[in-house]
Amino acid sequence: MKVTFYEIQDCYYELIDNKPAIIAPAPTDKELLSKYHFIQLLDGRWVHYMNEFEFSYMKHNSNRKTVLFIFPIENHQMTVQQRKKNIALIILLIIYFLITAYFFWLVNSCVNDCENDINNFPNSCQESQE
Amino acid sequence: MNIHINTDHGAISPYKIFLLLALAAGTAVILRLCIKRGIPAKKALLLAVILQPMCIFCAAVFTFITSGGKNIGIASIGAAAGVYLSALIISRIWNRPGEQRIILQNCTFAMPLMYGIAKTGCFTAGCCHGIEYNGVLCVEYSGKLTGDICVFPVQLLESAVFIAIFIAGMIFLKKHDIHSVHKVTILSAAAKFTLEFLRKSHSHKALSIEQAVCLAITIVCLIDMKKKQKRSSVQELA
Repeated sequence: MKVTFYEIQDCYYELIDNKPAIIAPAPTDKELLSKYHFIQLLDGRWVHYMNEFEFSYMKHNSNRKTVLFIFPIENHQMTVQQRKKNIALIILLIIYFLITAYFFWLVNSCVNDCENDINNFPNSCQESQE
Repeated sequence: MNIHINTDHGAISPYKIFLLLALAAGTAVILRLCIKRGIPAKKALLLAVILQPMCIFCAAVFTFITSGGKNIGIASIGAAAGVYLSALIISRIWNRPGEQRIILQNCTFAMPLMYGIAKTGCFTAGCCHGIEYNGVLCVEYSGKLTGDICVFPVQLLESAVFIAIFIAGMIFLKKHDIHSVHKVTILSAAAKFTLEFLRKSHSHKALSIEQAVCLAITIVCLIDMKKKQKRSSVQELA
């Protein structure tokens, strides 16, 4: 079964690591591959792992010789859940940066205290000096 | 022919310069590979931004934990954990199937380069120095950090070996070798395991924590590689 994935013709379907994927033919324009979210595997092939919508569309049309993907790609809206996940991750990143900044301040304090021989940091500084 | 190094540096420490250089080089390689292999540019850039602080943070946490809360320093295993943690976090943002694996693979390819450059920094600072040695190319350290010692240039050897592993990894990738990631990981773990014996800090120890981690990684990698080979031969028969 051949697949025409939007502007990329002569693609074919394959199961890669148990995930349904569309493989682009060898000499395909890199801009097109980037536009339709193809990624390059270690073996050099450019693949697009199908989402649920694309896979069910493929299954529905599996009796055809060539499956055409022609609907606008912008219709694949990010789900509300995915958006919430992204926000949660970004908040986590901000918290992480704040903790890292505190950690750096802690390290610098330790180094300065050790150099000036000031006894206002827990045992770690004194022990490392000894 | 000996190498003389004074570890009492001025305002600008060569160690910090090499460390930053290692992070910059690694970030550049990961960024380039990600964009080349189809990861969206904004995702790759976000990874580049988070990589450096995450490396330093995890490296510091690792030494804090392994020293029992006594010291905070920089450890390569911790930094490696930081790189992978950044990759995992970023790949969950704007998640598309398959991208996480690509990003993790690219991080693996860049690691030997980062380690190789960082080891040159260790060489200038006198830390992680080798066993006592008086032969050719022995390194004569002086200064407050090390005192006057003559040791084996293990950091230089590590630097050369790991940069060679990085180049080999790029060649495997260019040749579309499906086991390239496994090969780079096994070579890096084996090199780290072996060269650890030439380090002064390894004296009076059967196996260090880093060596145990390297051994575990090598075993896991070999098993995974065998599984992958078996899977691809079954698919070929089908």
